[in-house]
Amino acid sequence: MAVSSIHNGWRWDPSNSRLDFYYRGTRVGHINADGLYSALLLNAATTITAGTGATTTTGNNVNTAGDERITAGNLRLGVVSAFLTTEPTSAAVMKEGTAPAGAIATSGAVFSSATVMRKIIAGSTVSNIQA
Amino acid sequence: MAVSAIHNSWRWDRANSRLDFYYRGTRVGHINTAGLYTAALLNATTTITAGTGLTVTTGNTTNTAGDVRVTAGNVRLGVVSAFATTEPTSAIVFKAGTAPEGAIATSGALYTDGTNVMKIIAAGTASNVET
Repeated sequence: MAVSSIHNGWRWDPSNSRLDFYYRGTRVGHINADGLYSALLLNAATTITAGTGATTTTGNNVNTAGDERITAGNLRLGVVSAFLTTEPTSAAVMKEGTAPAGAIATSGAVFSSATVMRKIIAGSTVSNIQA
Repeated sequence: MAVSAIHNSWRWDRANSRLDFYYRGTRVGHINTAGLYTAALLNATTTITAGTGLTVTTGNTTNTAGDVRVTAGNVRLGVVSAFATTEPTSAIVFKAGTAPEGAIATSGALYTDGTNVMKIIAAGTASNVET
């Protein structure tokens, strides 16, 4: 049975065995035993927490403010185990700036001045990166 | 009409033309023709998948375990096309560690051993990033 153009709320979809939810006749998403699916955008006013990873299949992950923080683990460009074969070429790109305050003993950072790539290491020593 | 302090489930919000959902009198979110919005946090026990990108407007993106992996594309700090103008200064910062296992032929990685910013290149050769 078709959905009314003004239907709000739940609707059981027998062909897909799922419980859809509608806004004025538009299917916004559904739930099933696997979880909640949004057919459109999904917007959280505060934090989004993913217990086993966040995956983007198309498009970008964009932070318009704040950092990308990795408490443990690495930043990986491409699938490391497949580097010999078909991985894309990638780069870390950054604007020129000053040495970050946090790059102190037992840590380091890579950044860029206006003309050269730079590094900062223990004791806050800053120097150029060259071949 | 006010919502009961114990109301659960849907409620039509006439003033905002949206379909709200409540938990015990608290509005948790709403849906409309654009998608699903939560007024509070969004928590997934397993994976969150975004079909057209993930955007954080305030705060940080934090991985407390695991990597940030970019299978295709780059890591960009700032908006590359606007680097000459108003982009923020940025850096990649990391704590001392050992060479990553995956940095093998046809790939490379940057890390720090505590006193130097190191690079690892083809065949697993590790050396300082020097001036």
